[in-house]
Amino acid sequence: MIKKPGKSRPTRNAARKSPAPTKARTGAKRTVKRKPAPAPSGDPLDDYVDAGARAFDLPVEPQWRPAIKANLDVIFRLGALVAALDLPDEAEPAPIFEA
Amino acid sequence: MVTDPSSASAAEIAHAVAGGEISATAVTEAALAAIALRNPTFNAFTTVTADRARARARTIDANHARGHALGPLAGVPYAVKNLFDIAGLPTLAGSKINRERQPAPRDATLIERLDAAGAVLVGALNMGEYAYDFTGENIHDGPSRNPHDVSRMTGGSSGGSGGAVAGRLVPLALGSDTNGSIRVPASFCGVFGLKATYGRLSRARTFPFVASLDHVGPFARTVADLVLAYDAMQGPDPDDPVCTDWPAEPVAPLIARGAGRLRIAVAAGYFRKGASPEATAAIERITAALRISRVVELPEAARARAAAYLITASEGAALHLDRLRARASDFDPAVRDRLIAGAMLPATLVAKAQKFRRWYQDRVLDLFDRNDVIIAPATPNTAPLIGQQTFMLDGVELPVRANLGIFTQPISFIGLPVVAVPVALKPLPIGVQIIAAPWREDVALRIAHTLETMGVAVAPKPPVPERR
Repeated sequence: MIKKPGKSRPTRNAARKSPAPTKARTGAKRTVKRKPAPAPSGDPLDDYVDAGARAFDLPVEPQWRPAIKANLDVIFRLGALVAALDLPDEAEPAPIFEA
Repeated sequence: MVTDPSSASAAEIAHAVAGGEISATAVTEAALAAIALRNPTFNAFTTVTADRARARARTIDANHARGHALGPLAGVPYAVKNLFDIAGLPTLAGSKINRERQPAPRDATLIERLDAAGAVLVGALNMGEYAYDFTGENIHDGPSRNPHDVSRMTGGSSGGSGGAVAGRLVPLALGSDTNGSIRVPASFCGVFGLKATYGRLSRARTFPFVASLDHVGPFARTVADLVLAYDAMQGPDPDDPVCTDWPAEPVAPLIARGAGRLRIAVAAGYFRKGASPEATAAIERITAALRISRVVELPEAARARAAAYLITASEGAALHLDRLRARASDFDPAVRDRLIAGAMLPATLVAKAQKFRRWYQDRVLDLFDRNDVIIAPATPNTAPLIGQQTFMLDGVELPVRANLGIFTQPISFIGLPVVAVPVALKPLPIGVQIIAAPWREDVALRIAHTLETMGVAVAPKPPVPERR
């Protein structure tokens, strides 16, 4: 770890403000109704999209499906690459990164 | 002497305004005229804040008339990616949905700091929707166009920022960089861009994308201008919980020190494999100029890029989940489909990516025990055509949109400071990353300045529309 000479690492300031959560900031108005579960398609990725759309209450129009599947395919390919690295159980994550 | 304010550098303008050679009002009018003349071609601006700019310029001129000292950016016109809050305007972040937001009550911190230094905000700039983009294309506002060839991409997501600076609409612009969104457009548009260390510059009152990876920073046509802006924007900010508490460390007094005894290495392996002949040629020019013989390999760079991709997909989807549920049809389809896929990404992969991030950081920082600077391409190639879907990388046809950031993502993943410097290849420029250890922006800027002084890194002038 490279540290700045003569200075400590930056620390979080307890006085810092987080904006209050507000629906108005998202501009979101819920309009989508949950659809019944479709029959299994025989394509695992199609089934995953169907299950994910239901679980997360996400709209997936038929014409969007090929691109969503293509993106999921990339995600799982890159995910497999990351998952394949053997890290010790004690490895610490860096969800809040400090350089 | 500033004869053409629209083409002058920020340093030249500030010097001329402070010396009374030209008024801030005259500079502002020249910038507004340049925008009116050139923006229809480049589509860099989404809003021009003419009234605000004229009022600000009048204040600067009045202060000058009273004998008050002016700031280091006195009268310098600049513009910001439209994810920065500008008081009185909704913050678009390149989207259709955000047009319904309430006007921002206050400027972003970096705008406040540039204004305090005397700069004059002239508008907001085009960008890829919600910053999830490497192309500079935008379905709602139209694509920003590369001043070196308007049929080509600016790169993104800070496409308007790269285009506005390269196209001589402004000498200075701000953008954001989560995975390469400053460095990719700087590369394609042939300008300098600075992505400082994660946490160095405040992101307060900017529309977020991926909290773990979001950075903000300046674009300019000279290193001196980059430094002027950077020095004016540094410093703690309680409004950004990620921003460092360290005081500002001005770089301007340091950049003329040259390369000196700095240990410079070129990134090999992953960073050579996908590079086009143009990207390789740019690296070779810099290697020759700096007489670099060292070679380093960043361990697991491909995995770092993959992990950055996963964190981006997951955090981006989480940010926009409610909007996806309610207004999916109002998104750019290319952004929507990636966000929906990201919403379905298993948490186990994100957790592993975050663990890998620290592992990778430790090993890359080890390299900086033996090296001060690492050189790597900024983009795998020069600017693709607008709308181009695929390109060849290392003999494989791959989607353009997902792969323009292959060389930038492993660097921003661990927050390292980078200056993207332009190499003026013909017919199109391409950028090179000057990468330093955390908090050593001064080192990267010294190398960038050295290369500029040698004539190796230069922002080439494109064929901009001129007034007849």
